[in-house]
Amino acid sequence: MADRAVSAVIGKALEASIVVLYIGLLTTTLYAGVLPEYRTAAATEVTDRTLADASGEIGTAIPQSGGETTARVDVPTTIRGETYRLHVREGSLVLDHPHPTVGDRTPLVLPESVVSIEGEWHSADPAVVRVEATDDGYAITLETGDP
Amino acid sequence: MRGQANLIALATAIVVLSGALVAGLAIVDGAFGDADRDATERGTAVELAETLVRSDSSLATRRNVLDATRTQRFDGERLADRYPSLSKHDVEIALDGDVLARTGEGRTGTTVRRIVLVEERQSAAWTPSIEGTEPAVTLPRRTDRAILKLSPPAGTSMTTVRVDGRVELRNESGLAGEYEVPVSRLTTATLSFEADGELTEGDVTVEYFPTRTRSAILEVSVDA
Repeated sequence: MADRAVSAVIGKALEASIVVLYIGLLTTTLYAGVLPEYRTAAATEVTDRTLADASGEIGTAIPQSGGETTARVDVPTTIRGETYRLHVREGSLVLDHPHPTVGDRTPLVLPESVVSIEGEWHSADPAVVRVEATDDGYAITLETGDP
Repeated sequence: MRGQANLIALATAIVVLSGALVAGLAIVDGAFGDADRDATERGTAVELAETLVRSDSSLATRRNVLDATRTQRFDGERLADRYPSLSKHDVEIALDGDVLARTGEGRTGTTVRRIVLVEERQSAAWTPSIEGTEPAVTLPRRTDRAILKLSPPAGTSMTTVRVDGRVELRNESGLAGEYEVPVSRLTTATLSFEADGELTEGDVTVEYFPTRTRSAILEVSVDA
């Protein structure tokens, strides 16, 4: 009689520990293997979107005829939980991210009237694009601050 | 015996749960794959189209209006030189199906379409029927400039030519020869002449440049 009761308890304890073990195994597998990949995939899409939006806003800020314009550009503060930088290199807008697999560049298509583009943005600071008319054409500067 | 039956039930439940998890992950993978929108390709194509139709673009006469002659002379090689950052991309620009420029294989990747106007300037010659010493005629079509050939008869000298009431040419000793005058593009211009003798048809011929405008679809394709 007592044996039967004990075996029931042992049986239930065994089941409980199996379930707990299973949950622990599952959680470890998911967090170590699958989740980082999904976060990186999502971060890649957000990076592409951010680059397209930022380069589009730079192009829109260039006036059709003369003058100086300043426009604010909205970029997400963090991608994949970390802040990043945007700068221009060789005619492309480059997104520099601390994570090795996140980061991309997009070519900047600007009209011939633009002679120079320089500066950089940090995602944590408010981003502003300033277009000035010089003797040879437009000079674009990426700066932080208020427009 | 009952305890072991429970264990078997537990094992089955765990197997079923794992199967459900795997199925769920497969669905998530599929969803991520479908969410690929190539935002940078589309952004580049939109920017390229926008650059081509700006009022200060080499192809355009006004914003969203392209000049037909300049589009026919558009050079594909210039595209690669102008935008070296696009050298690794396949870009194609087409107007109403005719390819204007292409690098690499065209028509792959993301395509962006815009409606634009294509303007063609023609040249028309017109000999207005004029009579009297101060005739005035109105051009049949709008144009941005006119080339006047003045040949008044011997003994008569034309002193003034007015465009829309504004004095454009004046010479007290007589105007003769070929003159180009700017004309307002917004209304059909009125030319009035002043001479000290009778003018007849043939003394003045006008060459003007009316435009014909049609709408077209500009397609820009970019493949990263």
